[in-house]
Amino acid sequence: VSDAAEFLLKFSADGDELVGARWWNYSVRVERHFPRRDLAKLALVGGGLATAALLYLALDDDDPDEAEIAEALALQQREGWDIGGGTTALNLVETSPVDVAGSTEWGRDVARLATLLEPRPLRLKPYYVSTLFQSTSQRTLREQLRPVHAASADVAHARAAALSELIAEGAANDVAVILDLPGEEAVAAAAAFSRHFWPVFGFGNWPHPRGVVDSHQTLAAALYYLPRFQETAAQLGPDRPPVFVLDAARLTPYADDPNQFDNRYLAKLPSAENLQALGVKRLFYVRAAGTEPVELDDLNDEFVAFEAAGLEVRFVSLGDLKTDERTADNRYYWGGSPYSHVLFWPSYRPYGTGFDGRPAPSTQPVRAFRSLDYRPVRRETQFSSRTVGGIAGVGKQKPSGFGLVSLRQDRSVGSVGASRRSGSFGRFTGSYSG
Amino acid sequence: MSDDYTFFGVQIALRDFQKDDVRARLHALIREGSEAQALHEKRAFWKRLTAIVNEAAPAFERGHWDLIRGSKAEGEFETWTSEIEGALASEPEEMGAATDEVHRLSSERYYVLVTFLFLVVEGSNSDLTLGERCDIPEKAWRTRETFQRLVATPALLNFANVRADAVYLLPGNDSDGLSTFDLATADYAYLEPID
Repeated sequence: VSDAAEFLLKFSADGDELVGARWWNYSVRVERHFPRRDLAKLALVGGGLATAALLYLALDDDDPDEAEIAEALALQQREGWDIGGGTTALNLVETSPVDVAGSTEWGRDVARLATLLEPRPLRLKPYYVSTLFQSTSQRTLREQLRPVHAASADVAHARAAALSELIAEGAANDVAVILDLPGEEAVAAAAAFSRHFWPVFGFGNWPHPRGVVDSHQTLAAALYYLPRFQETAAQLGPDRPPVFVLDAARLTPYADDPNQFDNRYLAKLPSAENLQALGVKRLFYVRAAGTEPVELDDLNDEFVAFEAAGLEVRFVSLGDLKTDERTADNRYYWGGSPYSHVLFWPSYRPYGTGFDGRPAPSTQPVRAFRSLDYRPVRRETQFSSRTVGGIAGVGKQKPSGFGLVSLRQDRSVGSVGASRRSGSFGRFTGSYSG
Repeated sequence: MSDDYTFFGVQIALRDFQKDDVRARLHALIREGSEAQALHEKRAFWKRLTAIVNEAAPAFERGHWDLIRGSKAEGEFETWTSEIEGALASEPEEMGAATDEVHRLSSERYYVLVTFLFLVVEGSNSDLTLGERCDIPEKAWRTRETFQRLVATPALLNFANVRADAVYLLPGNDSDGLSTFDLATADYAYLEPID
C-alpha cells in the first residue's frame, strides 16, 4: 500500500456558519479478518511461544509457497527493525526540535536509551524491560527518531504529577504503581512519577513503520523526557518504591492484515512473591481518562493472583484528577476540588490506615468514583483461557497469531511479497533464503 | 459501494469556548487540512485534532455518539454530513440581527458544536478498534470519561480501512456561538447532558 495521498477532500467550509471538511478515501482497503487456521495450528505447535526462537513451518498443502512464521520481535532483531517496511518512514506525530530540557542535543543519547533509563536500584533491575529502548541500536531507526511532545501527554503529566504527590504522601514504601496508559502518556506520566518513584519500564517490542502498535511514538516520547528521568534519578533515594510503566496500546485490536506488522506483546510484571520481596503490599493500577475500571486482559491473571497473595490492587483513572472550575490555578485535584483531594486516602482505605501507617482521617470517604469499586476478578480473556501450569504468569500463552508475522517468498521477481494468506506480511524477495 | 460499513459519529457541545483558544486552534487545524492526505497525514491530523478537543473535556456539556454497523451505516454518514453541510444553505438569512438578539437574550453561555464522523470498512481492524472503544456499559454512555475515550478513538484507527471522514465546527465564526436557547430547541434535542 502506498503512502501517497489516499484521502481527497470532497467538501470544505470556512465561513461564519460552519467550519468543516470531509474526505473520501479512494483506495480504501476492504480486507476482513479471516479465520487464522494456519496460525492457530502454529500456536498449538509452538506452545507458549515465550522464547524468541523462530519457527519454520510449511503451509497447508493447498498453498504452493513456503512461508516463515516468526515472532515479530525475533524477526526484527534478526532482519532489521523495519523488515518488510519498504520505503515507508516512521510516522512520528507531534515531534519537537528540543527535549524537555529545551536542548537540541538530544541526539547524543539516543543509542544509550536502554542504559540511561534502567532503574538504578539493584532490586528493581530484574523487572526492567529494555526491549523498546534497545531498538535504537539500529542505525536507520536512530536516524529517523526525533523527540515527540504530545499535547495529550502534557495533560497526562499534569494529572500524574498530582496523583504521584498524593500516593507518595507519607513513607509509602510499601506501595507500587502500575501506569497502563497509551505509550506517550505513559512516558509523560512516568516522568511525573519519577520525582517520588523509580520508573521501571515494561515496553516489550520494537517499532515498525507499519506496526500495529505505535511504539515509535513511545520511544520518541522517552527521548523527549530523558533529561527529566536523569534529573530525578540523581535525586531519588534508592529505597523509593517502583512505578511500573506499560503501554496500553500493546493489545491494540488487530485482525489479519497483510500490510500491518503485528508488533503487539504482553506485559511482564513481577510475581506476587517478587513484589512482596520488594516490600510491596499495595498496588495502584492507573489507567487513562475514560477507560473502564478494569485491568487489560493480559494482567487479569496476575492481578487476581496478587489479591490472593494478600496484595491490594486498586484502580485509579487519571480522569479522576480534574481541575477545579471554581479556581483559576489549573491544578489537578482528585475529585476536582481541594476538598475531595484530601479524601483520596480515606476513600481508598476507608477503614484502614494511611500508607504511612497513621490512622486514616475520620472524614467520610468519597464514593463517587467507579474506580473505587474496582477489585480484580478472574474473568475469561483471550490470555487467561490459555494459561497453563497453574501459576499466574507462568506458561501464559498468546492467542493464535498474536505478535506473529508471516514472511513469504514471493517467487515473482523483485516485488513486495503480497500474500494471498491473511496475517502475512510482505517482504522483498532476493535477500531472503529461507 | 457495498453495505459493509460501520458508521461512527461523535458530536459534543463545548461551553464557554471563548475562554480559551481551543476553538481557534481547531479552526486553524481544520483550515490547514490539506486537500489530499496520505494515511500517515490523516492519522497525524486526527491525533492533533482529538488532543485539542480532549484538552477541553471539562467544557463538554452535551453530546451524542453513535456506532452503527451494516446496511444503515452509509446512510447515517450521508444524513449527518448532508444535514450539517446543509447549514451553509441558510447562511444569509440566519445571520441577521434577530439571531444575534436571541443569542444575547437567551444566555450568557455560548457553545460550539464539534462533530467527528467516520465511515469504516465493517470487519476491518479499524472496525475492531471502534467495537472495542465503544464497548461501554449503558450507564456510562453519557459520562465525560466516555466522551473523552470516544474523542481519543480516531487517533487509533488504521485509516487504510476508513472510507470517509469528516469534521465540523458549528458555528464557524470564532466569536459566535450557539446559546442555551438554541440547544434547547427540537433541532438539538438529541444532544444529551454529559455527566
